[in-house]
Amino acid sequence: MKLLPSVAFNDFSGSAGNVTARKTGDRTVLSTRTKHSKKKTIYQAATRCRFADTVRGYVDITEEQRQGWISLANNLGSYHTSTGKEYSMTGHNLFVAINTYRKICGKPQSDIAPLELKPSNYIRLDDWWLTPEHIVLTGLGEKENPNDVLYVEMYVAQSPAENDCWDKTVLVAIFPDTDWGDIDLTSAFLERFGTPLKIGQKVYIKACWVDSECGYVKYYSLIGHIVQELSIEHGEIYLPRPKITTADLYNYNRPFRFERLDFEMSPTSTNIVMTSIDMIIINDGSDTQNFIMEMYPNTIDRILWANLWLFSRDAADYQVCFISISTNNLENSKPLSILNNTFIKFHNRTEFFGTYITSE
Amino acid sequence: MITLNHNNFGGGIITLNEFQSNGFCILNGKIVVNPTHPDYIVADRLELDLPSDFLMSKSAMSSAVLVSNISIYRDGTLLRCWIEKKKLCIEKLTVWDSFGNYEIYIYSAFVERGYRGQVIPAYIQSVVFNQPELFRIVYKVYKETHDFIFMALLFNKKNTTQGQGPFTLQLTSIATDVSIQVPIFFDNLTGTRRTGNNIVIGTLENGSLTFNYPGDTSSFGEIRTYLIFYAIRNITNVT
Repeated sequence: MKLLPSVAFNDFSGSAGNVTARKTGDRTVLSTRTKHSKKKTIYQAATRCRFADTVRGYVDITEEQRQGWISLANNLGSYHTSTGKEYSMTGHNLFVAINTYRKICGKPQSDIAPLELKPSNYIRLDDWWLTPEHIVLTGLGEKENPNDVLYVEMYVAQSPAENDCWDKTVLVAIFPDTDWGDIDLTSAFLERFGTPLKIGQKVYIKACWVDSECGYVKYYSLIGHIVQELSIEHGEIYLPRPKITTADLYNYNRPFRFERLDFEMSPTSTNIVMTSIDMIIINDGSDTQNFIMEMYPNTIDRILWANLWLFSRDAADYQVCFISISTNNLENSKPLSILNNTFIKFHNRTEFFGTYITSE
Repeated sequence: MITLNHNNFGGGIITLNEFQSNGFCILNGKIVVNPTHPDYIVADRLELDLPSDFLMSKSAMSSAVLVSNISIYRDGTLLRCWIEKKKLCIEKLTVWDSFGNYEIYIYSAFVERGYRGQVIPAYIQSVVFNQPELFRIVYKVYKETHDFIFMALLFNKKNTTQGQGPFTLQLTSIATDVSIQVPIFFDNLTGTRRTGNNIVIGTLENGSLTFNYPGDTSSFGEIRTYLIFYAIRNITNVT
């Protein structure tokens, strides 16, 4: 961009060829005409479509609705974009900004200006991993507003000399909620950037809690670090949270199935761990004393325990049984066994819930 | 000890013994519920406000034991119990409401998922139970730390053991600084379907578990009796 005291362009504003001129005070500013890059990725296409649709949307709203946006913009004063820049806001800009983020959050275009703008919030963080295998943020806590979603942008510096790249971050994912304070960005990152991180690369992450109904991104946390094997805050090796889900099990043609399966152990390197269970098994066959199913081979690597003692409860008559759940790691078989150690049989619907300690 | 001043079922002020650490806590105590109280009748679940300085605001699913007021054997069952938004939440089950006030025993652990520190203190040991003449221990798990014990126990009454009791099960080498009253489930060989289980309240004190079979179990044959609990050490939990 150049400041040009040009005779030819005095009192001229507009575009001619690839040159655009605009007046700033008593000066004319010339710039080359903005063109989007020739890159055609799915993400870029989606972004351009979303932006174009939103811009067109402003044309289609009523004059009364337009005045609402203009009034809100006037009250707002300046506006911070996700790239950290501050702009004076017009009704049109505000409409596009708000509705762009609303669409990113999966919400429809809002023709009517909101009564108030709830700005986005910073995130808090306990620890995080930037490794070639895992991009995980932990300790984000619970969201305070039910409408909040976690908005995450990232950028990987192309060379060690590339610094201060906060305006190059791109949307990686929107999370409706965290998994008990954890966010695993690994798959979203791979989908977005195509290749895993490498040790020594510089990564920029921009994240905030944004009200998905409001779509006003104002405050956001900027966190950046070099990719390394250990966690950034506490220098810990990444340990996955050991869980069993229905995807880890196959039943062959057994006459029972899970209506709910929520089974997780505390991530720790010891073999005595707290385990929380909330599961329901539907038994379509005759009464039985046990449920045995096979786990896929990779599941066993995440499961450290051998035995767990707990109660079950029949969903119909509330009879309580003393249960053991055990795993085995045989060469050709990885059974997960749920055995009833009382004289009461499992009927149609059995619930297992509680927090217990595993036993070696 | 924590005091829970507010609840949604008209239960008055309730005190519970507590052990808290990062991402983990244990609650011990008993709650009396009046099923005729207007607040209870309209409640969807039982909620008790935890103190503002209570460390945990949300937990994974845990459990509690409902003990009804039915005579001879106080039938009951297991209840869902968890912490949510600084409230202790307990599933409401109305099956035994017509029998008057019932009790909820909480001898449970609560964990936050995803907590990556040491949940259970590093020091932990297991001990061996002796097997007295009256009972045969089928399964046992015992974990002891500086602050609490965890026990899961399943034992059979022998056929030769007759009458109502009281019976005392000597548990060798367990912590002797635990003094609690804990619900004990049992059922008999017939495995008859019924609503809930027979429950008796046992006392664990100085390493001995004492309880009765008040209905005279001579005809029951080999009764299977079982209990699972977390108990905080050094404090009398229920008076």
